[in-house]
Amino acid sequence: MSEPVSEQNEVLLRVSGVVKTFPGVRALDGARLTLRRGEVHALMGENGAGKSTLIKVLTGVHTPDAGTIELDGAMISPSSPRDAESLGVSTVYQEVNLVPTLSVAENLCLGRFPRRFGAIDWRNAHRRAERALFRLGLELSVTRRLDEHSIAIQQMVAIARALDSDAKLLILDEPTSSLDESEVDRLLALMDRLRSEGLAILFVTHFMDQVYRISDRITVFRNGAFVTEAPTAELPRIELIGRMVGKDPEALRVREAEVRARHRTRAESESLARVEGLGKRGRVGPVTFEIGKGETVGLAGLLGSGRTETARLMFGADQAESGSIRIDGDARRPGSPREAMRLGFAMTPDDRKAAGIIPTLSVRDNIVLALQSSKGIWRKLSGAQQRDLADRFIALLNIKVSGREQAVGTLSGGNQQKVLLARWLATEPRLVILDEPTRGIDVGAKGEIESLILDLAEKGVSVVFISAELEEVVRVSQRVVVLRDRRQVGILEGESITEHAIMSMIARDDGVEIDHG
Amino acid sequence: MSGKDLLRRVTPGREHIPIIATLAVLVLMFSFGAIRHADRNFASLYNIISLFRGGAVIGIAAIGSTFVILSKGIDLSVGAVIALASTMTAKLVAEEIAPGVAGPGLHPALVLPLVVFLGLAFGAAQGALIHWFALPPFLVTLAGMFLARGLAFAVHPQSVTADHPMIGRLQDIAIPLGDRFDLPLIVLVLLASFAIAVLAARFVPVCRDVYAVGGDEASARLMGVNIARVKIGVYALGGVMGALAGVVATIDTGAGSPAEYVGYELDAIAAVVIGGTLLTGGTGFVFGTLLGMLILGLIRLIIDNEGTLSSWWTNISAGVLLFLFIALQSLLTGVAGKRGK
Repeated sequence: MSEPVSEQNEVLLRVSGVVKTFPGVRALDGARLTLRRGEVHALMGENGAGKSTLIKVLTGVHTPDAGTIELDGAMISPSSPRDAESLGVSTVYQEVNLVPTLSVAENLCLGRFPRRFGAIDWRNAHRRAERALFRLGLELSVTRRLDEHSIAIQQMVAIARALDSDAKLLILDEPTSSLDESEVDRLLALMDRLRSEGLAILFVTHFMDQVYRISDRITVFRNGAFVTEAPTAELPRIELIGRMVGKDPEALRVREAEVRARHRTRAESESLARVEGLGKRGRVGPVTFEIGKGETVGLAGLLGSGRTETARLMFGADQAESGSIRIDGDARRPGSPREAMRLGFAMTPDDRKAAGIIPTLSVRDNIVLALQSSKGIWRKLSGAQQRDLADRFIALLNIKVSGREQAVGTLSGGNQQKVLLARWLATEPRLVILDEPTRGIDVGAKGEIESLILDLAEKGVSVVFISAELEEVVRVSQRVVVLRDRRQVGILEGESITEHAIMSMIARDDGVEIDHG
Repeated sequence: MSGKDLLRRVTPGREHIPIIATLAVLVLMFSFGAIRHADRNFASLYNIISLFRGGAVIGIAAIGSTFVILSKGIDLSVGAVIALASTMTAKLVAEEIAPGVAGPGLHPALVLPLVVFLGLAFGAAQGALIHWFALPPFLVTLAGMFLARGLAFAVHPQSVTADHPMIGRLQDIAIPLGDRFDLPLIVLVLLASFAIAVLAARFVPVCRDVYAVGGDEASARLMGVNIARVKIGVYALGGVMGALAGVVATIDTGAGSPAEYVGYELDAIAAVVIGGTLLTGGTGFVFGTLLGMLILGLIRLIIDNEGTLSSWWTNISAGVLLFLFIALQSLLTGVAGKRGK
């Protein structure tokens, strides 16, 4: 961290009282943000905090319903990204928003080519591109295609383009998500350099370490509303996390004592599998933990900590580059979901609409899908078998339907989740990976899903449970793997599983090296 | 300029590989023909001119297709537009449509621009549907293909002679090459069109927008590219080049026919692809399309010279060649995709 930016630094951007409502959702509810010249300001918040909506308001993608944006002393209301850019607000997104098939120079000059006699002056364009990159300390061949360079370089080219238009405020939206460590270092160094040139940078990220390395101040949002603003140096990590998830760490400590009292006593169970150093560069890892038979293992961490990534590696949805899963005495590394299914794994993905439920098919069709595909096309389940299966699971999971032929798309979120779960339970798995099974469903349905997990455990089915809500993880897990910034930072077992313990493990500054086994 | 700079400037980038492969294939095929059929004077100026003349209609139309494909689109209406344009041109200028039946007999100076303008309107309409209603180009231009073909028959149900003295005079325009050969008007139009298109693609900003949109439309939009102008523009250009091809074909053959030029859109696409332009959009060169056109013509010429081979071998060879080029392309884009990650 460089010398803290003083309060008297001139205020550049002042967002106040911004409200943005979408049908059914109040995405921003009185958002507030103050940025000063020459500071890196981190904007933090969990899912649904309103970070991206605020960015879209600042860049003119959305028009706010209420509130004001003041930039450099003048009220602004950008009407498009281009308009925002001309006002001095430039944005670089996580996915590099450049054209990979064009040359670096062209990406920098598109829309503002230097011309001679109306035709593009390429020599001049190349010179200009080289100058713009040189300012960022980059020297590269600007005539090469953009996609011949690494993502980090592409990101910096995007920044160079953003700065080319006299930016006063640079918004970096999750810029480091696809970068490896040395690339991150490079980007942070660049941010430092730009800060010293007097640029204001709004840094949106979920990487705790980077926030504490580079930012001068932090603003926290939760559920679309402003929670806090504080100098980074004065906001301890545990406080920050508490505010992001909406829990007071101290109050929690007291309540958890009670919870622990009636906490389950964990029966010593035999091991089903051991995840050993599973990882993939740029995604997550290495992750190592034990899964007992009939045990529920929670994966806890903030948004982007690598929870989903771990689940996907285990299920072969993404291919791990290192490590393995020791099961039945063999070390396996599932190369595809089919292989994982053969090992007796099942997974419900976090986005049930995009990656699971087929809304136009009936409940019955959705339930038999996985079992049918594991049997292969030649051994078709008979109509009677399908009906039996569907009815059995509708009763077992208490799925509320008018009949087994109802289209799944017409069910509520909680019931869709149950259908998805039924599909996998029908294959009689040994291990069920549930990625955010309770997201976006009502409280009652959440409770049912939780008790279902406990039922599964009693039947000897192991569960890997992912939830953004720490309470839930604490309630159902016998073992919790804590992740931060895509690394495993620790494991909690039995009695020691509390929300406070998880939060302090995430907050721990030196957590990087510990506990890989 | 330092030595390193110079080296970098002359070293081809990966994006040049397909067009270099195309050029190599063209040279190899021509050499093969020249050696194998040396006794038949394969490498004669006559053969070379006829390569250009035979490919001209497809080549002119394929310029439009190149830009469409660069924008990540496809245009299936080209062949039908050529037929419609040629039928209209012939009918409108004809002083006598059938023995004893008088035609409109309009002056070509009026008809030719009119037909080209109608091509523009037709293409722009397709582009507007594709852009504003977010319809798939494949379907819109398929519908356009049926529509244009039907309209061609509505204009005139059979072949019609472009019976106008001015057409004859236009046919006489040619640049003499040596004392025995000359470049006819259709070849001149072909070469001029390519010359303009090659330069435009490199030096006109809006043409670079076409590459940007084909490379990544969402990014291009965020970079401030006017997507509507690009998308409607490329199909409008497709219509213009199709109509122009129809017009010059009518002048060259002296007749227009609603039943001709079937499948020309596919030949045009083949020329574009063989010329190294990727169907995935954003990568390619207009000049490659000219090479692609010549290669298609060369296949025919070699097969004809073989004598013993039947004409379907032309299609078989074109098919095999296309396969090879698509494989090469997917290999290259595959590599690009991996590196980008």
